[in-house]
Amino acid sequence: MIKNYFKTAWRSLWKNRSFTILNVLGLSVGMAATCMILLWVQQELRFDRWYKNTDRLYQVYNRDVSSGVAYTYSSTPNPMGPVLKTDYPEIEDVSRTAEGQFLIANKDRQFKPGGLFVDAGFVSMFGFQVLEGDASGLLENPGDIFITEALAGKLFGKGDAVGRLLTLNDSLSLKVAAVLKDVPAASRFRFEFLLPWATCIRLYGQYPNWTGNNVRTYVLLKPGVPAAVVGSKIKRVTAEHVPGDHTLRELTQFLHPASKWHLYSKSENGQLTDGAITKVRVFVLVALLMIIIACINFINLTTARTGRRAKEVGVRKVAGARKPLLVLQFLNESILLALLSGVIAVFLLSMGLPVFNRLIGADLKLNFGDFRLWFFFLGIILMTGAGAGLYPAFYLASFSPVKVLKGGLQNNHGSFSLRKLLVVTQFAFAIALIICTLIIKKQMRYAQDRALGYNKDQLLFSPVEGDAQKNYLLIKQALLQSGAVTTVSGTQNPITGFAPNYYGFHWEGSTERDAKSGFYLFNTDGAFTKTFGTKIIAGRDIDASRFPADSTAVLLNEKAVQLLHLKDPVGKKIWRDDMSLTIVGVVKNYVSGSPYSNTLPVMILGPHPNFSIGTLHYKLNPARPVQENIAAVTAVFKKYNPGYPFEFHFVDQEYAKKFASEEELGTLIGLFSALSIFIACLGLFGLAAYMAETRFREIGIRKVLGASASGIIGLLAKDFIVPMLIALAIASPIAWWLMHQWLQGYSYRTDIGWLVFLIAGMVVFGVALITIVSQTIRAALSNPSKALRSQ
Amino acid sequence: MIKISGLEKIYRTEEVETVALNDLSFEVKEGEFVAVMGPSGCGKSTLLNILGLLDDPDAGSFLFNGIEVAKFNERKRADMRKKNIGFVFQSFNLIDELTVFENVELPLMYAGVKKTERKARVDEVLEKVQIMHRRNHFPQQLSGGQQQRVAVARAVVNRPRLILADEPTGNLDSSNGNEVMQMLTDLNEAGTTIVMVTHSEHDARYSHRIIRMLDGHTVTENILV
Ligand SMILES: Nc1ncnc2c1ncn2[C@@H]1O[C@H](COP(=O)(O)OP(=O)(O)O)[C@@H](O)[C@H]1O
Ligand SMILES: [Mg+2]
Repeated sequence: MIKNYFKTAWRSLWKNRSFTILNVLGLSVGMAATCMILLWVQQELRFDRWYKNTDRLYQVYNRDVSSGVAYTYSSTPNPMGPVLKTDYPEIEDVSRTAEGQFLIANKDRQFKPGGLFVDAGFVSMFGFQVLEGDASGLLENPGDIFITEALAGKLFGKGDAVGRLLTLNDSLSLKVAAVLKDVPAASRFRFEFLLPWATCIRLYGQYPNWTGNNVRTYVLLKPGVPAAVVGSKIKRVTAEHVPGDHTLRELTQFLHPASKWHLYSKSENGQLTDGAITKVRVFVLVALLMIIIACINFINLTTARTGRRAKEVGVRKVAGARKPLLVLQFLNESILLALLSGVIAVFLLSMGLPVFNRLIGADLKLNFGDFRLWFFFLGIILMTGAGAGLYPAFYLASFSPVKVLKGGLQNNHGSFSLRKLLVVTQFAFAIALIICTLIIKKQMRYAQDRALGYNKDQLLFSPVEGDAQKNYLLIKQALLQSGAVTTVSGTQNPITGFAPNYYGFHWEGSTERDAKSGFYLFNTDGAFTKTFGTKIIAGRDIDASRFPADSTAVLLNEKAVQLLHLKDPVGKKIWRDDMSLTIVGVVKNYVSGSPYSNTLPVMILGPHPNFSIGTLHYKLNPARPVQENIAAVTAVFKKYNPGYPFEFHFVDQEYAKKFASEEELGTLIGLFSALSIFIACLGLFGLAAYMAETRFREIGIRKVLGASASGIIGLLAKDFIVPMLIALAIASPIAWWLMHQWLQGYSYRTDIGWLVFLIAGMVVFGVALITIVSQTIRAALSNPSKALRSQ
Repeated sequence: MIKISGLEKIYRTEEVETVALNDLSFEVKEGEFVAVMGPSGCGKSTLLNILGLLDDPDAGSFLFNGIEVAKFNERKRADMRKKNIGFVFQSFNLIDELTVFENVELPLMYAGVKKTERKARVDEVLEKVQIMHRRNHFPQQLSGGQQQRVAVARAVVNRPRLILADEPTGNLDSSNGNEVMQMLTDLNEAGTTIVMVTHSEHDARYSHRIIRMLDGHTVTENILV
């Protein structure tokens, strides 16, 4: 029986090949896109949720209030971890983490991987897998290092790694105590090595005070202990250890569960309510839309062809078929079609996944050996088959045989308007996606076109590390003498990098509230304006060689001057607990930090003893070839810092990296909007062909009566233009609202404007019109006598 | 008004070649009412399509009002057709989605006639064919005779000089058929030239002259008046 069903279904699909091809094409592309997104969603939902003790793991967060607004942050005081472990019996274990990037070498095999300083319990708390080495007493010994499989491979090749010696930063000797399995992508922890906390102390000294927040703290609760209980106990732990500090009045600590780390990582009004979850929701919606758009094609094309199938239904019913049986028969057809599409979709998926991975920087895999994957595919196929086929099946199966067989079915106006409604839905989705793509691109362009305020042309930086620190002055001199660079400036951090935020400054006439104003600090040992091309608008640049007192000099940007509300800042003093500074000049605002945020208030310090030099910026000599310049710079660094591989970064490239995540989002939404337009147009293509076919006679009559070919095309297109306009009218406000929300996340943001709506509308109109015309032009050009003859 | 000579039309499909018109010549004068008769498949409809400028001949000459139109391109033919010729078909060929009024209005719309004038002229012809009371009905709601009257109204609304009718009574019973024939006769008396294809000797008697065809040829011509 089933076999018989499939045979008839197959025959029917085969008989209407062009219809089948249109549907299979649409459904398979839709299914592949949906699967792709769902695979990604699945990875997002697994993120940080696969640890051994996920349900008992928490991160300690802080919540504070600043000018009436609550906010959260996750860096904690260094001594908090050990105190939590010893003073709170509900807490089973604690580990702090601090990031570090070091030169790690096995003789001349040198690498600069990133890793973590952790407490002894880290590996077992999270259940990271130990491949080799002793799992007991892990990380107790300050001379130990754990490395991942990948790093072991790079350092030692295929041989054993445990027990071998490594050097860290060309100075510290360490023994490999264990090799860990590489950390999966779905983890917040990105490390290639782990070092014991003792090593951190050895390298940077003790940080016993509770006033600096520089590490992260993770806790593992004992089984059965409610997090709320522990949470309320530790609520004031920091403040309790700094008695009498009234600035900590509103500071509290709370526990953030591991299952929410990834999805809820952004704070809003002091609550962690946002984060990747928003993106997940958006893409689940997009996935649903893709499959719905494809299903609509099937529904529209099937019901449009009703006239042909109606007779079959009539005959079958007269021959004794009952309605449920017919419904089943038609459903069979759609499920067979979905199955066929599913097979092609799996193929498309395996072809498209690497591209998709590259676009979004993920590493999604199709594990065909996993039966759950096949379950997933089967589910998608059945859902698509049923979703697409149910309505047409009931619709077709309910024809009355008497009516159908007597007069043939006249144009059914009711179902026709449903069809238009569905077309409107499809195109509204597509248009909305296009508008979103355009606005995302517009925002990116807006930020990219932002006046930088410094000149990144030919500007490079290299880290100052190892022997370069002690040979720093020699390196500077040698670089300038080599002729490869025209100017150098030493700083703590790259200009595109992190700038620490300091508050608690006082100045003449400053108030208690002013002490809460934060400033972003940048430091330079000289040639700031010359190297970065910033513009001094008052006073002068810092120059310690001419003004020995300039070790306490500071330049302010315009925004900082505004915050200080000083009329004549040059020459005034500002001070803080640990430093006292003299303002020597004002520079024009430049972009520090994110290009999407408002201009930050920046203080540029001179060679102040509190700040070290960790980065050297230099401008290449434009009169010589870049390659030659870089070779000369490399030679200098190699000479004075032979223990380290030479490393350099172009500032313009580093700056461009700040746009990566928006670029990714724009590409993704762009991709899916293109796919949705494609699928929707397949349906339109089928519908237009069908329209042209059924209206063949009408077209003939009109031509006999004097209609021109273009008039006929216009007539047929008009039927689709109105739904397009409605789709545009529906999609525009929705897309506007969505993007308006999205843009709120950027303080430096473009306005949406009306142009994107016009462009989106024109793109969709253009594509739809081409589709329709390609189908109707034949009918419009055909000889009318043919149309009238064929009855 | 019409003068054809040596007209030829051959239909080629993949397998067969059908000679539909073979060295056909005759003339129709302004104001004449001509009936064309002959067995099925002898090329009557093909002839009418060519006379109506819906199709072009493969060889021969076709003078329409003294102008050689055999080699006209599609646009020129359409233009000439719009201005001079009205059609009546056996199967009415009304557009189901349009009302009686809208169907009749079509030729005027394509001729670019203004809306107020269109309404006046459509109402005038609907009155003449006595279908005014059904002007807002759809074709499906009318009887065959009524539908053919609408078709005739549509053919004449543009005041063409020539009406081509292909078996106009073929789908009608005799009383409805007679009504339509009477309408054509009235039009002819008012000065319109008519070429009508028919199977019915009875209908042919309304005309002035009968052209009999066989296998794409003229066989005989009977002059009735
Ligand atoms: N478009 C066409 N393609 C092929 N053959 C055609 C076509 N139109 C007509 N014919 C053939 O040409 C001949 C004349 O047809 P037609 O003019 O319709 O005859 P009548 O109207 O006298 O019955 C017939 O044999 C018919 O099959
Ligand atoms: Mg015929």
